Amino acid sequence: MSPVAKRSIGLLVSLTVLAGCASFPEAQPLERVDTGSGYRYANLEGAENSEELFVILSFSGGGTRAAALAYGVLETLRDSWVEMDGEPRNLLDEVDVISSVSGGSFTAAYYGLHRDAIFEEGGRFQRDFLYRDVESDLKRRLLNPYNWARLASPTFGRIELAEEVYQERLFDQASFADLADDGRKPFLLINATDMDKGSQFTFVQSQLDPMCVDLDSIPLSRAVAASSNFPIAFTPLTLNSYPGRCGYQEPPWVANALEGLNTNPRRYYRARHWQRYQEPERDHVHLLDGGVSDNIGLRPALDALRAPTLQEVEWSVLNKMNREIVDKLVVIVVDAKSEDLAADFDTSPRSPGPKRVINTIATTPLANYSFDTVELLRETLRDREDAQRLSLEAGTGMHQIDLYYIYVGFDQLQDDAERERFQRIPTRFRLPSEEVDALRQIGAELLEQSPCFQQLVGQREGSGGRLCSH
Amino acid sequence: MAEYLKVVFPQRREVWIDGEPAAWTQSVCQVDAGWYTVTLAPPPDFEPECQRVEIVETLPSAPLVVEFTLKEPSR
Repeated sequence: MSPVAKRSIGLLVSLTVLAGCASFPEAQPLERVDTGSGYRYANLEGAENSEELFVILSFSGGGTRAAALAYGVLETLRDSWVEMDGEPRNLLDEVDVISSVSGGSFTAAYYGLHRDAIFEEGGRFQRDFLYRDVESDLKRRLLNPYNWARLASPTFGRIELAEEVYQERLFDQASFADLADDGRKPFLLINATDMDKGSQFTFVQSQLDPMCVDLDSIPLSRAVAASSNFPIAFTPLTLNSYPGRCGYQEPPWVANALEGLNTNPRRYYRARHWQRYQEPERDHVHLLDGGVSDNIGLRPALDALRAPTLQEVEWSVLNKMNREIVDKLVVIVVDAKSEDLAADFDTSPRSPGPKRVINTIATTPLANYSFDTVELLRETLRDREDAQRLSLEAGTGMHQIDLYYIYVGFDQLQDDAERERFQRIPTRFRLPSEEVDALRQIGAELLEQSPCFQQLVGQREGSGGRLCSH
Repeated sequence: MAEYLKVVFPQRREVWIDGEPAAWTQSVCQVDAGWYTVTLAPPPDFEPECQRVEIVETLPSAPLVVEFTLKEPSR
């Protein structure tokens, strides 16, 4: 055999061995469910963040466009103050929960981990993510022959390469244990989509309890990769599961919910999905982009506004409202949705081609669902306002809460040209610096110009149980 | 669908729903439609011990009323 052939065979054998070794990083099993430990809302009690003012932020998907818009909103909250009980309180410090998907998850996770360091001009978040060509980082890794061998393994995919990039650039070895150790709010809800159930999968310990997985063993970079795991471009992200090995006890709400298929199908299916995580043969969960099940990141907030117990949704805001803990509820929705303004099918009698048809199939249901999600939140808050008024009139004693719904989205822009400019920004992990600057600026402006935000930061007294919704 | 529950007891006490603190007696609380197990926080000086109820078709002005009474002191 010639030396060249020997070398080729040797290289092939080495690559095959390497491929066999490459696998996704395994999540560690949870020895025992302990609600007093792990990344849970109840374990994050910051004295400086009271619950009487309860602030929820949701950051949508949309690549760097979404990350930059959310960043601009955070910058404004950092510089805003609200008065509670005669004391000025910083609004950013008052944020209790940030729920995010996809591009928005980068901003949420980095802020959760590094707090005000995210705002450092030219700092790591700006330099290595917001203003960086992250797509080139991903492509370079994909084109490296060393990684071709790893990608030949059935348990190592393109999403693992992406995770490595996010780890190297932004999150290092940080895991959810670092967030839990910090013990401060906001509570992060980094959302992905469970392929099997088609439902939202949130990286919090209570979601992983029935799987007997220790969230503390999962790197933050992995959760963000799952949340931004754009289908086809990346491979599904796999998590281990160890059902039945940690003494998990099913909470009482599940049995009650399973009797309500006809009266409350939404609750019924939440319970069904919950039970499926406990099925002994399900040793793995496969995750896609959080945007597939909810591209606004608002569904957890809707669940928290409906579920009356902390077992059903561990940070149930309805529970806190019913227990008269919350006096003022603020929900700020940051929606970086784009619009296909180039669609001009209707100007021609010709049938649109397959590419456009596929694009419509892939994006239209998601966009419609997102629209409905936002409307559902608005209706839920409006129903609460009506209930409070009716209860007040009837003297039935419902706790009166001031409600604020604030929407930050490009369609709020009055100027047609400006609105279209932002709606045309593509969903990429690479945007020109001037566009990132403009997105930060417009995020800040849209929030500052919201009448409800102005009312929130400007008023001294409560609004008497009314909903402000602009 | 938002539904409404009012738990009546001679004292102001925490109401437990599905095994955890969830509201206060004498005040209307909001829940999602469906079945719930309702009881009160300790001390266990009330009866019945718990009540399983389906909460549907209620209004804030006409909630489902669940009543607990003080136990007779044991002789």
